Parts: sequence; structure tokens; C-alpha cells
Amino acid sequence: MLVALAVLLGRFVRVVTRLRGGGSALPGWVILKIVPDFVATVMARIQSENETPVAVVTGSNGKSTTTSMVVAILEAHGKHVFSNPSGGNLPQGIASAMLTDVTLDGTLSVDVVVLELDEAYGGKLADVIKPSHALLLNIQVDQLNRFFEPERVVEMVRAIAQPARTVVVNDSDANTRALGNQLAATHDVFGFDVLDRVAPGGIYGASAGNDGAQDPREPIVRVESVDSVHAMLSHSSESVRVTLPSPGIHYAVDAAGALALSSTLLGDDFDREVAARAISAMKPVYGRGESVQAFDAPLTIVMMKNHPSLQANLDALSEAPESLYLAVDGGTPDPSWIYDIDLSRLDHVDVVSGSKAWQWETRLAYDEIPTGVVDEDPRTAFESFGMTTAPSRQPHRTAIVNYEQMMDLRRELGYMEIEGE
Amino acid sequence: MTLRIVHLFPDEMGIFGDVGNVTALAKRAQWSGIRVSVENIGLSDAVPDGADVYMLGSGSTAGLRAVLATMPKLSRALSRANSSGATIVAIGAGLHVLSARLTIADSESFDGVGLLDATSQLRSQRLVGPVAGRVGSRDVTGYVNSGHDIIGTHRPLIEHIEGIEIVTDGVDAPGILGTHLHGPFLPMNPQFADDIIEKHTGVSVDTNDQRVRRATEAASRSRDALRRELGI
Repeated sequence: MLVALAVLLGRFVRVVTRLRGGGSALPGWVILKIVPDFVATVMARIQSENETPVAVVTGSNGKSTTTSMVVAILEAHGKHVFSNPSGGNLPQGIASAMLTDVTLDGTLSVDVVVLELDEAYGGKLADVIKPSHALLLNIQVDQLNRFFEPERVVEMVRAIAQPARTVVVNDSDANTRALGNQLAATHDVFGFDVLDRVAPGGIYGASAGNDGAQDPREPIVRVESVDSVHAMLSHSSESVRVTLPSPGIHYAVDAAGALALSSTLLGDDFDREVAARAISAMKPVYGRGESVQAFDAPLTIVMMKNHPSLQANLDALSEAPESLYLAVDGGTPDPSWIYDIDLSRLDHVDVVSGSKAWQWETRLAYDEIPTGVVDEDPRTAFESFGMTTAPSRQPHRTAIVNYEQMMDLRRELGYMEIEGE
Repeated sequence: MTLRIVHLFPDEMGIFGDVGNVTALAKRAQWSGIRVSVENIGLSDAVPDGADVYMLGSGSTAGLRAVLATMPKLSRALSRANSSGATIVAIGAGLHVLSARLTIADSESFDGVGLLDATSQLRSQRLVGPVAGRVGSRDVTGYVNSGHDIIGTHRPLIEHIEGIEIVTDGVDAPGILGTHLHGPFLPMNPQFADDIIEKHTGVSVDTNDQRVRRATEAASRSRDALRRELGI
């Protein structure tokens, strides 16, 4: 009865928040206020009734993209999948996502559940969700104001994997490789990997005392080559070609992780060609390399989430952006790490904005990268970006923005759908 | 005239963009017509003698453990550097390495370099956030993210701190510039970089150089922005 009330009220709140362009987590927050163990109730029911596999995807970077890839692969194999859309990786986000499919008595009729989990909440959620499969993508330096140091994240990710039976780890990341080695005694562990020559500079894993971890597994999926958005992956000694949603080795690694997890979920039903086609048909995940329209031209949004993800996105640029907007605000509370970034792919920045604009300008000054305008107010700054730039060599403008500025920018440009919808 | 900078353990002790401190020193010196050499020293390398500046940045627990395992070699090298007049720039965990003894986890303690009459102890509550303070008449700003306190007899570097629940920070000792502030510290507070350059080369940083002016102005505006963020 209470569950039914929560579902109805949650749906009502969702309608209202959509009308107002608000956040996607609010309906879930309302449900959890009424039925705090709503997620556990729904999950317990589907697992006890039909042993539905429940996979979780976690790690510092690539969760949203990889989760979308896994869902696309499973759906292409005819499976009915429940997932939390990109970004909805906290309890309220998962509860919100359940609203669409759940019946009033709290039943979800699906074949597979695939959930992206935030590292910090994941341990607690994993106890509730009781995953059968866990995909551990990477542990990179991320949000130190929140996580303090990568060693803590290693333990959070371990807690997420612990309840699962099958664990899929990125063997090109020393920390997830080490976790795989340690879990191998008690879990079925599978690995995916990247050929060394594909990523000669490494994959920007965090140094957390695991750099010497041995690699005892033959990977089930391997990234063999990456050229812009084209990647060759091998699975069971057969190669398969995929088109990535955005250029970059990191997206190929996500695809390898998605293939590896999907193959363990589907077993003999897994068809790598079907999987490759499903990934190739994907659009970029919300705000991650996606293209929007601004000033009558496409604008490519590059997200500046943390050092490894920004570096990977810069590495993937084939040439310096001709028209570049850079905006970072308080959503990145301590951007000290911008001094670790290799900015050699940039030859200028047209407009620098956000409350951290002058910190970026200091950084750019030390690399002697010219900037046009520094204006902390993103509204006026973006307007002058449109007025002062007219790309001719490239068909698009480029914006490097942190998550919060990406959201603001999309809203300003009339992209009203919010992440998680 | 050459400014010789030794960057100690950049892989293990550089989690908060600490390399920016080296960048600020090197670039401001170069822009002022001074030759610069930067040597990156790894855990298994010998720490060279005779440099002007030794930079030791902030690290995670694993990085700190690895560095402390190089004692007493590191202790001897930095003691020689200190007595020969070098400047040691020690940020975050790097500052704690200079203390006599460090407790880095429950019942896990190590000998430090011992240049400071101080011990490093676990805080009950981690300090995280932006800060503003003063060093004499200078305004300084930065970010703190630290789980350890340094307890000793030294004079603090920064006073009148606002933003987090401490009022002083760091160490002002002969030949040591120590603080928990990153940002990183020298790019955000470049006057300290200029002091170091002048001390070791006798050459003043060229404040008329356009590149110096751009970086100095941007840093000043960064500090203003951070003070506004703190409501000061």
C-alpha cells in the first residue's frame, strides 16, 4: 500500500519537475522519504522470483557511457533491461529510474538489471542491490575534495564488487587489476585489457600502491587499435570493429568493458557482431562529447570532469580546436589538477569563463597559450564567444566545460531534457 | 646564471597539481632571462646535491609510505641541501615528510627527514576547502585537503586564515617554505616564487615582461575570486 502510494506520488512529482525543467532525482527522493527501502524491496522481488541477473558498473570514469553500451548490447540481443540513465547513480536516481517500469506493488518485469553506481554510495547500495555481476572500470584521481585519496576509492570499489559472484575488471588499470587478483580467490574474475601500443602513455590510473600488481588473466576482450572513433576489439581471438560514440582511447576501453560484461551476462547467447553493431549505433551519452547547436553551428561539448578524463579527451583531439570556449565553476571546487594536464593540443582559447576562469587563465599563461576574453559570467562570456568566433576550418565550435557548466550551457541553448530522463 | 630545481618524487608526491609550483618557478625565471634546469627524481634515484630548490609535493597515503621508505637516504640528502642554503618547498604531505616522526595511520608511524622539530599526527576530522590568509602584508589563498596536523615549535607561515577551522598554517623555517595550501601555491601566490628566484639567482623577476604580468595578474584575480567565494 505504502509502495503504491510512493510510486504514484513519485510519478506525480516527476510530471511537475519535468514541466519546471528540474532535476531527475527529486521523484526518487520523494519515494525514498515514504519508503526508505524502496530500492531493496523492488530488487529483492525480481531476484527472488526469477533470479534476474543484476550487474553494476562502477569506477572513476566511463560509468555512464559503459552502462549505456551494456544496455544497448543487451537490448540488441532482445533482452528487456532495467537501468538507471546516465548520471542517476545515487539511491534517489535509481529510485527515480524505477518509476517508469515498476508496478504499483513494486514489481519490475525485466530480464536483466544494469546499474551505474557511484563509488562512494556504491558499497551501501551494493548491499541493497545484491549484484550478481560487477564491472570495475578504473580508479583514477577524481574529486579529491570528496574522496580525499584514491586509496579510499579502491576500498569503495572493492565493497561494490564483494557481494557479486562474477567480477569483470579492467586489467590495464593497476588498481582494478589488483582488485581482480585479490577477488579471484572467492569470485569468478574476468579481465579486459588494452594492448600496450594502443595507449603508450598509459591510461592515467591513480597511483594507490598497486602499480606492481601482476596480470595473471588472459583477457576476454582486448582493445587492439583505436583511430579516432574507430576501434578494433578482440573477443575469443576474433576481431570486431566498433564505432565509438566519441573519439578517444577511453571510449574504446569503455566498449571493451561493455563487451566483456555483456558476454558474461549472456553466456552462449552473446554475439559479438550484434554487440559491435549496438555500440556503433549509439549516440554520445549526455554531455560527453555530444554535439549541440549554438550560433547556427554545431558545438562539441567536451567534459572536464577530472584530470584523467580531460586528458583523455584532449589526447583524442585530432587538431587544436579552432573556436574554443572553456568554462569551469565551483562544481570543480579545487581545480589544482589543471597543472597536471598536457595542454599541447590547444593553441589558443577564445573565451575563458566560470568562477574558476582566472585559475584557468593563470594555467594558460604559464603555457603561453593565448586567450581572447576572460569573463567570469558564463552568460556574457558565451555570448561573446558566439560573436567573436566564426569557425571556417572546422565545421564546429568546441566547449570544454565542467559538469555544472555543461548543464547550464545545454539549458541556455534550449536543450531542456535533463540528465537521467 | 642557472636556477637549478630538483622535483622530488613527482609520481608519488604530486596529487594536487604540485608540478605547478615547479612550473611557476621555472617559467618566471626563464621569462626573466634566467636559465633553468629541472630534474625529476624518482624513488630509486639518488637525490642530487647542490640544487637551489627542492620541491616536495602532496601525496596520498601510498605515495607517502613509498617516500618514507627511502629514509634515511632522503633525510641525509635534504639535510645537506638545507645546510647548503637551498630552499625546500614542501606542500601538504611533503611538509609532513620534513618532520621528525609521522603517524600516517592508526599505529603506523615512520621517521621523517627531521628538519623540523615537529611531529605529524592524524587529525580527527579532515580539513578540506578553500582558504584565505596572510603572510605579513601579503594576501594568500589556496585549497587545503589534509588529514594530518603538524605539531611542533616552528613558526607558522600563514596567519589569519579564513575558510576552514584553523587560523594558522605551514612552516616558516630557514630554507623551508612549507604549507598545506595547493592551488597550486606558487602559481596562485607568485610573489613567493619571485622571492625564491631572487634569493638564489640575485636576479629580480622581470615584472615588465608581458608573460610575467599576465600570470601575475591572473593569479591576483584568482585570489580575488577565491576570497569572494569565501565571502571575504
